[in-house]
This record gives sequence, C-alpha cells and structure tokens, in this order.
Amino acid sequence: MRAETVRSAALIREARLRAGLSQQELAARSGKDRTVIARWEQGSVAPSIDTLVELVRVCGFDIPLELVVYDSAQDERAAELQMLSPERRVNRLLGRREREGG
Amino acid sequence: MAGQGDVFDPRGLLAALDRNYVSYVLIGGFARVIRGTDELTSGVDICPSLRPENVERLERALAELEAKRADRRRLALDEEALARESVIRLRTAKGELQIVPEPAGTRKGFEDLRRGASREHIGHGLRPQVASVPDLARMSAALGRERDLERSRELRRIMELEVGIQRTLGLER
Repeated sequence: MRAETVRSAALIREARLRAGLSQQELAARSGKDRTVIARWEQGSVAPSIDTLVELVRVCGFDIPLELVVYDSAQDERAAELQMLSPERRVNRLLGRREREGG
Repeated sequence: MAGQGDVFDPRGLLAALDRNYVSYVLIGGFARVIRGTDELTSGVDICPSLRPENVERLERALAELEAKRADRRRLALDEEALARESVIRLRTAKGELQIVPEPAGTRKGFEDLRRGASREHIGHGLRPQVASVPDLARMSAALGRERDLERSRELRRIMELEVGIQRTLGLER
C-alpha cells in the first residue's frame, strides 16, 4: 500500500464489500479484469478518478466530487493521536471522561 | 452508544469477556478510540462469534457482569434473539455493553470482521481483537448518519497516516 493509493484502494474495497460482491463479481459487472481490481484494492496502483467513480457506481454507491476547504488542524490532531499507543489512547479517553464528567 | 450510565470501566468489562474465553471483535466508538479517533464514548460494542459454544460463554460472562437489558426485558441470548435484533443494549456492573450480531456494512458480522481485526494492547494485560481501521470506516459509512460519516472521514485520514508512518519506519507491505 502506498500513500498515493490508500484512498482509492479503501474506497473500492469498501464499496465492493458493502455491495456484497466478490472481486470476480465486480470484475464481471464493471468489465475490468479481476487481477486489476485486486491490484487497485491492494494499493499497488491507483485507477483514475473517473474509473474510481465508475467502479463505485457499479457497486450502487457514488462519490460526491466537490471542493471543500481543507482543514489541516484535523490532520494534525489525528497525527498526534497516531503517535500514542492504544493503551495511552484508552487512558486519554478515560481521563477526558473524568474531567468532562462523562 | 446510547445511555449515560455513570460506570464506564471498559477494561473491567473486557476482562470479564476474557475470563470466559468469549470470541468477539471490538467495534464502535471504543474500538475507534483504540485506533486513534478523537471522540468521547461511554460504552463498549462487540460483534461476537455466534457459534453456540461461544454464545454460551458470552452468557456466562454477562451473568458475571450482572448484565440487564437496557429496555428492561428479560435477557435471553438465544439464536432467535441474535438473528432478530440488530443491537442488544445492556447495562452491566462495568458499564454499557452493546452486542451487535451483524453490524451495518458487514456480511456475517464476526466472520467478516475477524479477517482484518488485530489484537491490541490496551493495558491491564488485555489484548482484545479490534476491528481494522478500514472495517470501522466501512461500518460508520454504512450507518450513514452525519456524525457517523464524520467518523468515517476521520478513519480515512488515519488510514493515510498509518501508511505514511509505515513508510517512515520502513514497514511498507
């Protein structure tokens, strides 16, 4: 998996699984080769945006393509949390609940 | 998770499941927090194996936890209830517990989720099986409510960050 392909890989797999399709079935419905779909899902390569939308639609979903303002603060917060171990994330949750009276 | 009981001892709750050898995958808000989302949650959600022997073990754990249904009906984890109810909400001595036999966006619940799940150290010697980030995103997206879609977006950011971290550490697959 590469950083450049992680989004498309996850979206194709998620759409396929939510539609209850195997890779073979998605291949048959979309007219693509099963091995190509497997490589997209593994993130070895990424499809074009148009092909991605087409595949997702074959699964019965859509990807709204619209520009929204990018908020880097959310990514920064997510990156900070990723640096914590799962145990420390749980401790953080319990501490927050105690402080906020949850 | 619904309800605002005062007690929230997720480790105590999961320890009871461990003592009774219950097979399950941790899902929902607590699983997302373990994976790195920034949210407050007040309960534990699990997707258990529905094999008869595991359901028996789960019943023993629930008895130990003094579990009662949130709707005050009699608690019976029979095959019919597990097939009929999408979510079984419980109050226990260690906090709220939701049993979700087949979470939204999955097929056959436990069997689907366990493939991507991994055991995570959460302290006190506990290593629950936690749903993967992509599977948590899939479940949140399938619920379709605005707050769930926001969680799904947060989980997708985490996916990207994880790949970046793996690359930095030279652990790319």
